[in-house]
Amino acid sequence: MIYKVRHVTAYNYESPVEMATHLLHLLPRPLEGRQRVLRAGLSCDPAPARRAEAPDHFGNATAWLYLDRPHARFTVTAEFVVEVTPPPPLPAATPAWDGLREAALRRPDVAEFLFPSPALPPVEGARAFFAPHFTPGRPAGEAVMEMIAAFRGSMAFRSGVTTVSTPVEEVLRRKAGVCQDFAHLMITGLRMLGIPARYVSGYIRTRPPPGGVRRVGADQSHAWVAAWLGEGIGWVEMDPTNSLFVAEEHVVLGWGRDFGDVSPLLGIILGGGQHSVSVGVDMDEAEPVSG
Amino acid sequence: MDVAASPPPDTAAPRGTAPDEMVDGRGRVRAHWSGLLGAICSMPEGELAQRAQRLDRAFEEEGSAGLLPAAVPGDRARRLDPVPLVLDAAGFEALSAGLAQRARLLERVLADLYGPQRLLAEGLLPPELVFPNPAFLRPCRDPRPGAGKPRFLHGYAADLLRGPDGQWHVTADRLVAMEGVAQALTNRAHMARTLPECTRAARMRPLHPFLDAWRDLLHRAAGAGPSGPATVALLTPGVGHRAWAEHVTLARDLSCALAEAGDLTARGGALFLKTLRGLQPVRLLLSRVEGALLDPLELGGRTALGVPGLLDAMRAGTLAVHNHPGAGLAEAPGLRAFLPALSMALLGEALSLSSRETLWLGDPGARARVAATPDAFALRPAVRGVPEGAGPEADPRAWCAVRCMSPSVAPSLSGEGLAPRPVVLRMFLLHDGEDWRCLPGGLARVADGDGRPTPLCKDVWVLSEDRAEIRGPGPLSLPALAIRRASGDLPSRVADNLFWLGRYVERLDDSARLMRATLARLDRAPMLPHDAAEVSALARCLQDARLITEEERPTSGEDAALRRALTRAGREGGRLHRLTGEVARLVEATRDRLTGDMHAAFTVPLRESRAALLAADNPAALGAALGGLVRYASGVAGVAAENMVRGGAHSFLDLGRRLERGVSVSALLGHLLAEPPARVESALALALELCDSVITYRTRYLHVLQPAPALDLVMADPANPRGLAFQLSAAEILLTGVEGGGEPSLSAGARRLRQDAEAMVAEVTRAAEPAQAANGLSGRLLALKDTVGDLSDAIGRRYFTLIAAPRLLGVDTAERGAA
Repeated sequence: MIYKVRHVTAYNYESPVEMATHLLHLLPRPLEGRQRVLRAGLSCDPAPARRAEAPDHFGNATAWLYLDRPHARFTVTAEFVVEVTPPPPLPAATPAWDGLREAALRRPDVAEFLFPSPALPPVEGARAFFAPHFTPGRPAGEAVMEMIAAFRGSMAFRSGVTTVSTPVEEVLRRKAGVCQDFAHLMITGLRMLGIPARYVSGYIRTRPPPGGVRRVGADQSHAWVAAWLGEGIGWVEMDPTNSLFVAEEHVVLGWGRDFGDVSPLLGIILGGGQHSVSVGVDMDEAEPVSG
Repeated sequence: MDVAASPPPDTAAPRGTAPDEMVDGRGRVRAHWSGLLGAICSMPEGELAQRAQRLDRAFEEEGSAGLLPAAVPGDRARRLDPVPLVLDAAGFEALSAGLAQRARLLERVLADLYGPQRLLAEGLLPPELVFPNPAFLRPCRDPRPGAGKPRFLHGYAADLLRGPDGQWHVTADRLVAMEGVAQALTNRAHMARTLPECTRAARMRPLHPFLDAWRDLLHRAAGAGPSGPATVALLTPGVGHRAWAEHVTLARDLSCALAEAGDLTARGGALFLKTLRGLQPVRLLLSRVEGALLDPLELGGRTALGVPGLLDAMRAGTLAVHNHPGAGLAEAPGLRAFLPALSMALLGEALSLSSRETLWLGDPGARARVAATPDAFALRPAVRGVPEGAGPEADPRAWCAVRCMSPSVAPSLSGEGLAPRPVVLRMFLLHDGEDWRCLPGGLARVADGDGRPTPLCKDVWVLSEDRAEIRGPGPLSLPALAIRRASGDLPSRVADNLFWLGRYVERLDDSARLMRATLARLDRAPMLPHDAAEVSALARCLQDARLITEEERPTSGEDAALRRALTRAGREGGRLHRLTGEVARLVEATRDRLTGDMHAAFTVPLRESRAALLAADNPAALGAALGGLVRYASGVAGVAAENMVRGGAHSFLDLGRRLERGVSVSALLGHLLAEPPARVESALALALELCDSVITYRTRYLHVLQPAPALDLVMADPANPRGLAFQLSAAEILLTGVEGGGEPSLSAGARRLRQDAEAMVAEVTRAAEPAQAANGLSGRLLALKDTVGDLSDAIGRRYFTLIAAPRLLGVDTAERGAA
């Protein structure tokens, strides 16, 4: 499946900003066998004085923009075309979930996602929430399938009740939130059970194909979870918000330990007073590109 | 088994028999101590104790003792033992070789962990010591192989103790702040001054070549810009930090600009220091701030302590940071458990200087060993910042165990004699571009009964075997410097602090004079109506200076409230007390601009006056304390006038003083002349008294007091240093100098104010009814006072405006995943 994504972020400042530095996670990363980036570009208005791009520690595409002229409005547009391939289905036989911690510790790139992270300290309630699916010795695939299926209906999708800094405890208490809250909750629970889990940032197709099911989402950034189910299986992506395993409706921007590692746009400004921001995302199926 | 957060330096409770640094196993004095011991023994009885007292006094005068204990916690009680710790040449060589090897190893470990992470992939280091460590800065990771990556370590400090086995063991590796090197240098200077016969007798290696090499290295690394050497800045958390004195000393000794994060800005991939002349590029930053706080944009720290864009400037290659912000990762206590194996793997050598035995509890074998002899170990978090809640039982991988070991003992002055006390040692190393070199000295600290360091420290002497020539670095070849006289390089913050120091010292002086004049009148018994009128006029001035409230002004002879208010002003929380505190803070903040003598002159009498004010329980004592403040202000002015080069720092200190006095004189005259014309004579008398101009007036005009000559003396005579015209013309000259031919609006403003004052006096001189005319000036003088205040604000806007505080954008906005 080929998708064309256009993500526009516009800041309006009350008074001109004298200087600004922006750190962006807005371009997709290529993923062997999962996602091919056919075209990608960033444009920015006003044009930055300097621009730098480099992969970050996690391998995500990162860009820095430096603006040194006074500006009252700043717009950044990311446009790209990616080809998404559905991952293979989970094999029938998966290792027992309770051996994953030891296996992960032998793999430093995986082990990193076992530990608490700045936004996700250990929360006993999160472990308890998912623990019923993880009975001793149970195959990991079976356990996560049950976990994902059971997640539907346990939480209400409601925007406006939480913010980016809402702790997982509060999401558990309210039993409501948005995709990011659900991803944070599930990651915390999985890590406490000893299963490496990371935060994936990207987009989901919300307009259903003919005859398909409409997915939850407002054509904006989406977030979900990847869990590591052992050597030979690797990372398995699952979307708690829609209670499903990721197939070919999700486009990946990047991943990290939690939202803080892949925040789409971070900035430091001088001046500017109050500001307002508007975000618009368009994601459409595109015709296969020849060649 | 005790569970404790890692105390700096890390010493667990003592175990085993401690060796003695001075005496060997058979009770004989070791050879390298004999010289010192001989020098001490040849002193008359009680002499050493007296020297110790001199050292205490010297520390106090230097201000290491701290004027405001709350502002510099932990610094106050710092003391120096007159008995140093002596190391012999061979022992030091072994130590410095071991530490150099360790520094090389830590450099390799850091380069791997911020690069390919092979140590993790090959299982030589558990991921638990890296990923959960808040000092692991992911934005600094660059897995791509490549030569030419910057070094991580340029300096290294280690805490050591000598265990019962007679060997030195490292208890902590310090890669971020490396506090204490300036203290070691200061201690040596004090020892040389206070115990010259001991320091001369010992053939000890000097410390200054290390400092010279360091200074050279920094300036060589920074290179030269188009207009002379590039700026090297020392980044300090600021005046409230406990190591502030250390940062001031280091910045001075290493010729660095002392900067706080707010003085720096990163633009276009380069770092700059805001000075009076504009932005000056900084090529090398000697950081004394924790790495994770250095760049709030990429590292998420608080903006107040870091500079957004700093990491970008490093990546762009325009800025070097010593040590690298990510270096703190290798301070993790748990890492020490793996150093022997890492040394074999990375260097192909056995680790020659061992750590105090450290076991990582993630290893089941280690857990079993600790469980077998729990009393022999103390438990510590394996990395910093591990939540204390998760104890070793729940999460052993986050913990390590260190073997308890009692440090060796060394003689220390105790009462009149010497007693063996436990010591821990901190040593300092510097990478000179080719290899590590070790400071032939260090900082020894006397530990208490539990092995924890006390504020009592010792100089460390490294004896030289023979009179080997001391190898210093080659002279640094820089292009000949252009002669500079102006001081545009003064950081804006320093100019700001000096300006306000000038203003507050003057405000202190003015307040003390007003209070003293009031007290003198309240003291008169019986109080005549004439005195009561003067007290009432003074009360208006006191209220204007915010020393009393409106309710405390005397009404119909009732002055009890006024008396109470005057006493309260000097007490804790009172206005005068707070002013002294503010002056003390500004003296500390500008310390890098003051010589030792100046600093002592700015602090010691202030400390005494502050104490006298607090203790004053009767009007006479209060009056005496106020007199002390007046003399303090004169002392500061005199010391500054005689010791500070004109221009730059001195200009702003003086400018602050002149403007404040301009404000206070115009306020004073404005309030006094508001008295009814019939009482003009007493108002003028008071004005002359408060402007210290009584004698001059009497010399010129004998006993006839008239408005025009009196006002001329206090308002228009440019030769009277307590008069208004003097302040305004001095301000004009200073501003002209600072403006240096630029936009002269500020100096012109000062000139206009002086002309206004002259015109006012001229009107009184011409008036048929001078008393009436003088009375009419009251409102205009109060307006003039506000205009002088406006001029001060304008100076602030033009010269002191710091870089606007950056704001973080984006995390809390609609960018969040709403789906």
